[in-house]
Amino acid sequence: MTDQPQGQSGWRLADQTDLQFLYHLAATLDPRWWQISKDFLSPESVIAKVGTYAAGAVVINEGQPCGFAGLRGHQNSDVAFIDLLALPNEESVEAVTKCAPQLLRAAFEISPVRRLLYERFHDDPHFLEDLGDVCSLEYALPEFALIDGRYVDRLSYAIAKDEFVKFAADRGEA
Amino acid sequence: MTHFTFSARQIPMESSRIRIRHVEPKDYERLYEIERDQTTLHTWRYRGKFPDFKDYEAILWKQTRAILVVESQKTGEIVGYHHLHDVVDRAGHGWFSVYSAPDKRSTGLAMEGYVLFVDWVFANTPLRWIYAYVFSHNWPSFDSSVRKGHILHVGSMKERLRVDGELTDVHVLAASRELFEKWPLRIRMHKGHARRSEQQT
Repeated sequence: MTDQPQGQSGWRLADQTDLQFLYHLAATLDPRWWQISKDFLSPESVIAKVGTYAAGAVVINEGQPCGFAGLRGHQNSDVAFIDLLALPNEESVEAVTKCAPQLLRAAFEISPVRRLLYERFHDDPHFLEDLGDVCSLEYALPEFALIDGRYVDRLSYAIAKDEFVKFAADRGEA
Repeated sequence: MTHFTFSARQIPMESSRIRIRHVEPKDYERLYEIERDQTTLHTWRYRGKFPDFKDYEAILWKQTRAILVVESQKTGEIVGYHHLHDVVDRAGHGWFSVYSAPDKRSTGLAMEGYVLFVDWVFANTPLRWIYAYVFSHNWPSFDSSVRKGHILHVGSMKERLRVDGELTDVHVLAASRELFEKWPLRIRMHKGHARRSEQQT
């Protein structure tokens, strides 16, 4: 399952050769890739934690990796988390935002889940904003973490598979 | 010979009806019994797959920082317990769970223990916020505290888990150190504790 870059941006499945980029991404964003950074950052911890993802994809822009999408969750659960991250520049954020619907569709295809959960800090880019109500805010944990001297809330969203499939069909992406 | 003196506790570990204390291995059987009950079996932690007793201790302490049991002052029986887990030191927050013995659910004893437990957490750890997931069927126990503003209801996860085959919503609660310190019940509890301590000295 790949979507090789067509034109400027696209994505491919992540593999071992991406570890250096993933560490770079975590270090650049620290602590915004919370799953990786919450217990502080080291190359070993990045390798260990990235290894816990059920699947991962690297987003490419202009031939260079610029973001990551990772699927994680409990075994035997019908709900999983999807993490979406981009290097902190406009082009990378745009590339991940553009690929996000395809990445969600792929996640629903490879995983038997009925809902995907997506978390972000309130001042992070919202990669799924285009989904409107299909990506619904479920709760916000106040003052969740200290980032650059300010406490930032953590927002948690849910995307139901049936609603997403209908949304994609309405947009002609099914 | 060296003589050690200990200061009296500044925060109360007991009320007129209950007391809280750290769990001890001798308590595991009772905790297991409380959790094994059919009405509590579908907890967030076990997701319906409850362990055998031989595996219970290891699973009980997984990602756990503290377990405080709630004892009845009258009978000494453990009526529930409170669990501090998934603490993130970097962020200064953690998660907590409240367990009540099935036959003590309508007594309010475990929730009384909850006030002491939260007080203990904020007095003995650097945590700023503690959060909890509450299944819909347990919501009535927390509803009053939320309505009074002692704890925040920060949202709900729709149809998050299956309980007995039925999809159920899970509420998310948040308690902050700042909010808790202003809780009138906590203030009353502290005044009573200080008065009792004075009378004893």
